[in-house]
Formats: sequence, C-alpha cells, structure tokens
Amino acid sequence: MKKKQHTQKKARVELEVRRVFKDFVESKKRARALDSVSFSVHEHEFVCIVGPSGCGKSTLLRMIAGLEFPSKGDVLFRGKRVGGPDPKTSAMIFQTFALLPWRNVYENISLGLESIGTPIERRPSIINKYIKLMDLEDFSDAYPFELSGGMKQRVGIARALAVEPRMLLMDEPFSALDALTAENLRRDVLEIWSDPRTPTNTFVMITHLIDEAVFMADRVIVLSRRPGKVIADIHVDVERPRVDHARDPEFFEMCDMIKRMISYHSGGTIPEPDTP
Amino acid sequence: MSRTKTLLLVLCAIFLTTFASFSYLGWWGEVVQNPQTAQLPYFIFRTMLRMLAAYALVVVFSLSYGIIAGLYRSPRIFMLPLLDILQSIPVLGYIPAALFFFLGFLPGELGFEVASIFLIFTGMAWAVTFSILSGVRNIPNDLREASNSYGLRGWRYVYHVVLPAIIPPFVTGSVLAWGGGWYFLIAAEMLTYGTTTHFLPGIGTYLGNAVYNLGNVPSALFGLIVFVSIVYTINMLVWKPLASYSRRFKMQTMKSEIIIEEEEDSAIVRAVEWVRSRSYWLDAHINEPVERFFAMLRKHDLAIKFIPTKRRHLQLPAWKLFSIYTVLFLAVMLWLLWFFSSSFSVPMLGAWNTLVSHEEIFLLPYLAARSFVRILVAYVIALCWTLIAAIAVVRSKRLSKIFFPIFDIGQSTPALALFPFIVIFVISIFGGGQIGVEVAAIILLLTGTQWYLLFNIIGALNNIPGDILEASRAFGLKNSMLYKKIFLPAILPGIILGSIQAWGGAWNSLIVSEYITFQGEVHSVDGIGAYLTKLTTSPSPDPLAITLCIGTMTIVILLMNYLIWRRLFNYAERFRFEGV
Repeated sequence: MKKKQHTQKKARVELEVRRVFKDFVESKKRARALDSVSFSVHEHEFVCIVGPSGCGKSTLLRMIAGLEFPSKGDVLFRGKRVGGPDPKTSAMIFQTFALLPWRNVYENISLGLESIGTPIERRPSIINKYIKLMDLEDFSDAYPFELSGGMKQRVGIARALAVEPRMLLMDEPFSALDALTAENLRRDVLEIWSDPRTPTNTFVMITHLIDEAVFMADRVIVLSRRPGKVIADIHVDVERPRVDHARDPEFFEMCDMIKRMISYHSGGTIPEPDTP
Repeated sequence: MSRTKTLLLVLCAIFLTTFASFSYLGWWGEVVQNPQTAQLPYFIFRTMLRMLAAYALVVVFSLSYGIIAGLYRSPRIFMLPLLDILQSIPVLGYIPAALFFFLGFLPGELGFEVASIFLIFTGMAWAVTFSILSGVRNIPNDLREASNSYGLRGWRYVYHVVLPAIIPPFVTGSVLAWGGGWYFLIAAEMLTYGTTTHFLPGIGTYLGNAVYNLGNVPSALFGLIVFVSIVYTINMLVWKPLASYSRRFKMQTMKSEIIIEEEEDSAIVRAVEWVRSRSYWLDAHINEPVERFFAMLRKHDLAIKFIPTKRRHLQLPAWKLFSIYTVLFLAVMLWLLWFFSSSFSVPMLGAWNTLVSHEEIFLLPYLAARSFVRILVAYVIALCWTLIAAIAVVRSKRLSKIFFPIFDIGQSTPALALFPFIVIFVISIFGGGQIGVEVAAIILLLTGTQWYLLFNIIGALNNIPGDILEASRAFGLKNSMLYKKIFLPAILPGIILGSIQAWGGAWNSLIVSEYITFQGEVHSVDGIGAYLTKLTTSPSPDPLAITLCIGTMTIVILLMNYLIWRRLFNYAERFRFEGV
C-alpha cells in the first residue's frame, strides 16, 4: 500500500466544526446531545470520530452531511456554512447500506449521478469504473437481496464515490458486517483513500471500535458520553501500513490510551500523565 | 395530543355543530317526528350485539381455518382456493337465500336476527382469515426451527408462537372486517326479500327507514351523525390502541429501528394484557387437556403430522391449480344453487324453463363488462386522488393532524347511508336519465373503494425505512425526482394490495350502486349488480338465474385475481423492503 505523505499544517482546511451544540426535545425535556464540539478536517486527511453509543457521533456526521443542523455553532465546508445535503460536497455511506431494493447494483450506483444531473452518455463509464474498483463486475445485474452484507456495502461505497464528492462520510460502515469481511473492506477503503487517482480523499468516519479508528485514521477525535464533548483530538503517529495491536506495540499503546481517556471521562481511573 | 383528548374534542365539535345547525334550521321538530328516534339507544344496543355476535363467529372461524390452512400443506392446497372463491362471492348476493334458509327452521324474529348475523359474518370473515393465513405463513424459518428445537411443537407451538405472531395481521384484518360490516349494516338490518322488507331494530334500520321510507332528511342526517360518531369512537377506543399495541408483536428479521412510541393507557389494551397475564391459568386449564387430546390422537395415528414446511409459495403446476379451482368453484356454485332452491322452495332443475323466460341471462357477459368498465372508472379516479392526498398528508405534519381524523370518519361512514344524499345531489344536477344514474353509480362505487387505497398507500409510505429516506436526501434527491425514484416504487406493493381490496369492495358495492330505489322510484343502470338485485327482488325469485349471475361475478373476480393481481403482486415483490 502506498504511504501517504503529507504535512497536516500545509494542507487546506476542508471542514470546520465550530463550537457546535445540538439539543433535542424529548418528551418535554430538553436533552443536549452535543456540547461545544470543535475540530477541523484538512484535505487528504482520514479522520475517525470515536465514542460510546449515544454520544452524538451519528448526529454530528449528519450535521456535516447537511441532513441536520446544529442548535448553536457552525459547520463550515471550505469556509461556507453547510446549508443542506450536497452530493458534490459530501457523500455518505450507511451502516445499514440503504440500497434501493428494486434497483440492481448498476442502477443503485447510478442514483447519485442521476441526482447531480450527470449527462446520460457519461454515466456508464463512471459507473463501470467504480464497479470495477469495488470488484463488483460479476454482480452488476444483481439485486440487493441477492447480495451478502459485504457486497451491499461495496455497492454503497461505489455509489458514494461515483459522484466524486469532496468528502466521504461513513457512518459505522463496517459494524453490520462479520469480522473477516470488515477487515477486507477496511483495507480496501484505505487503498482507495491513499490512491492519488481517487478524486475523493478526505474521509470522515464514525466508529465505536477504537482499534478500527486507530487502524484507519490520521487523526482520532474522541467524544465523551452524552452530552458529547471532544475529549481528545489525537494525531495517530503509527506508520502505515498498520498492523493490528497484537503485533505492534505502538498501535496497542495508542488504543490503550484512548480507552483510558474514555473511561476516565466516564468516571474511571486517572490516565497516565503524558496525555497530549 | 392524546387519543382520548382527540376523541373528546372531535365528539364535542360534532355535537356542538349538530346542535347549532339543527336548531338554526329548525330540524329538531322533524327528528322528533320520527317515531324511531326515541328508540335510538335501544337500536344502538341491538346493532352492537349483532356486530359482536358476528365478529365472535368470525374470530372462531378465521382462527381455526387460518391456522390450520397456514400450518398444514395438504389441506392448504384446497383450503386456500376455497377461501379465494368464497371471498369473491358478493355478500349481498346471499341475502334472500340466507333469509329463507334461516327462517325455515328458526321462526320469527330469531330467524331474521340469525340471518342478519350470518350476512355480517360473510362480510367480515374472509378479510380476517386471509390476514391470519398470511401471518402464519410469514413466521420466519429460523423462529420455527428454534421453537422446534426447544420442544415447542404442535399445540404448544401454536399457543406460544403462532398466536402471538398473528396478532398484528389479526388486528389489521379485523379493522378491515369491521369497516366492511359497517358498510353493509343497512342492507343487513333492512332485509329485503321479494317485495317485502323486514326491519330489525338497529341503527341501520333507523337510517334506512328515515331515508328510504319516511323521506325525513333531518332525521336521516341525525341518524348518520350518531352512527358515524359511534364508529369513530370504536375506532379510537378499540382499534387504534390495539393496532399500536400489536406493533410489539411484529416480526423483525433485520435490526431496524422500530420506534416504540410511548403508548397511551387504554382500556382495551389493559384488558388484553390482563388476559395474557392469566396465561399460567390458561396453561393449566387449556393447554394440558389440549395436549393430552393431541397425544391421544397421535397414539391412534389420527393427528396430521406437523411438518415445519419452508416458506414457499404453493408450487403447483398450473393445470393442477386450475383443476382444483374449477372443481371447487363448481362445487360452491352447486351448493349455492341448492341453497337458493331450498330457500325459495323451487326445484333446482325445474328452473331450466326460466332460462327461456329470462332472456337477459344471455346478456350476462355484456352486463359484466359494463360493470367492469364502471368499476374501472371509479378505480382510476380513486387512485389519482388517494395518491395525491396520501403523499401530501404524509409529508406534512400539520396536514396529518387535520386529515387523519377526517379520513377516519370518512372510512367509518356507511356508504349505504350516504347513497340517498348522493342520489339526490347528482340527480338534481344531471337529471334522472342514464347519465345521472351512471354518475351516481360511479360516485357510490367510489365510496366503497377509495378508503382501501388510501390507507394502504399511507401505510406503505410510513413503512419506508428511515435509512433509505436519509440516503436519498443525502444524495440530493429532491421533489419530483424524490417522488418518482423513491416514493412511487416504494409504495407500489401498497398500491397493489390496496387495489386488490378496493376492487373487492367495488364488486360488493355494485349490487347497491347500480340499482337504487328512492322514494318509490327505481333508478338503475345496465350492469350485473343491477341485474342481480332485480332477480332477487322479483316476486318469484329464480334460483338458477341468481346462481348464474353470482357465478358470473365470481368468475370475473377470480380471473382478475389470477390474470392481473397475482402477477402484479409478484412483480411488486422486488419493491419490498427486506425485513419489513
């Protein structure tokens, strides 16, 4: 796998989340889901947001996608406020795949292109390019009910990449898959991300698995339990290609540190003094 | 707003509006003039008794028939077609025969009452039975296998798995069934045979009498308002809570976010829960003996072996299926012929003479075609407006709040009660000629058709999984693209199911839509429903002619089922969301 070399400080800021709050009104009580969340994502970065269930990370991602809006604060893409879902800015991959059951693989991938108004003549080449990329060539006529979970998610990824958005947003994309399939897909996603030919190279992913985050990301943003606050914004220094923590002590250290941070914020023990 | 509050609010609104407008128009006088007004409370009581008696019979029948046919493959091969045929026979075709049959051995008032209950039963039974049958068939395989491996077989499987699993389809089927029952209430209480009509005490009679006999419009309106209020109250206090409660029994094969709304406290749900909590008592007193009974059957090799069959459509070769249907159909028709003959005390075969005297018999295909076109027109109109209305209402929360109560009330209104008003209205515009009656007939057909479409479409819209909607929005699909690419395909199964039910309702409504007696005059159009009514209201009813007429209608319905609806339904399978 190609090693991606870039200096964080010189790259452009694509996404800025600025002091975002989100409140919900639930059975006449106001519940705060997100509390003053701020961070930025630069071009070519792979950022993972981790946190326990219910900490608001899905809501945060949806605000980045433009599907929801903050109660206070701003979500800015290249300096402009995100006003609604725009597939050219960001495309999303869903935990439950969200494929249309009446369309086959080819037609599902075509959905985004139809929406952004790509001329019909250009569509086949784009769709076939991504079918090939995701190894779906033998299945382009198949319907979702005929596909396994892993394949469905490949279709989801192809669909998102086909519109060639600036950012790719992923909502726990592998949590509905078995461990082996998830491992393969993770590697495939990283390959796509680090490939200079891919037009989309800013990836934001949510997960509740810390090892997954450390495996995939340049930076891990850790959210606390509800109301979600940013506990840490860590630059993952482990060199790529990364192997899992059973073999790499640095990897293990990083995972461990993040786990301690989360448990500290939930009322656990105090972490080691060298927390950044 | 809570359900009870909405109910009270709407009832108050109805009461106040009625009181105000009636007083203003000085209508109370006429209402009081109607001698039956004083008996209204008693009438209401009798109607409820009747409906409940019929429903009790329906429950017993549908549970037995549906569960047996659902679980055992061999019986299902002929039980399902039989159900199909029975469902296709228009309810009102049974009236004169039922009357004579029951009057034959139950003299006087009791005979009429039983005949009436039987009629309401035939209007309700099939919807519930079908729902239960499909509910049993839809129990997922893995649940079946797990139950088997944990020792839940036979009766225990039925008690612990099947009965809870069929609660949701049972409730939806019952809602449809009661709707059908209310729809025909007037016909079931004002029993017409030959040239006489017998009135049973009930709201239907009150309404029918006020409209058709007394021509007392204010009193009829009053009766209508009372009727609708009652049906609406039952819907709100019984069916809505039950439907909500039954959601927790829904089979979920995929992890989906079923949002369990905070359920309001409701008397009926408390009653159901009380029964369920007594299950240990039921276990001891019912299950033990039943199991012993089945064990004894098994010892003597009498019980049918319970084989957990895989979920598969009845895979029979077409010719086999066709012959089963033909045999069953002829059997049912023969039975009907016998039924009518013995009811009218006319020899079956002696009726051959009447073939000559009733030349119109040869017109049956033409009449059927006329009726078909009429229904088609009504269906297209209904489809158009319900699609627009459903999408508009589901998209807007505000509209939902206003329109759902209105739709509820509309569905609860017995169409037969509206007929006179519609007839007066239409005839005053279009005149009493053919055009006027056609228009009236089509509008009347609409009343029996549109609610099925509306509710199925709304149900389908509400069932679109959240993540698909999100994905569509995230990819920037808006407005016309959203409707065309997402909503319409997603609701296609709902449209088809609704259409099947709508057409069923339409065929039943034909009989009352095409032949209208109003203030002594008969208005009718060319059609098979009108013909059937003419036959059954003639002074000397002819069993063979009636049977042939009903037979023709049934054949048309069955053909439509097979050639059109089954195919469409199979095509629509690919639009289904997994796990829903």
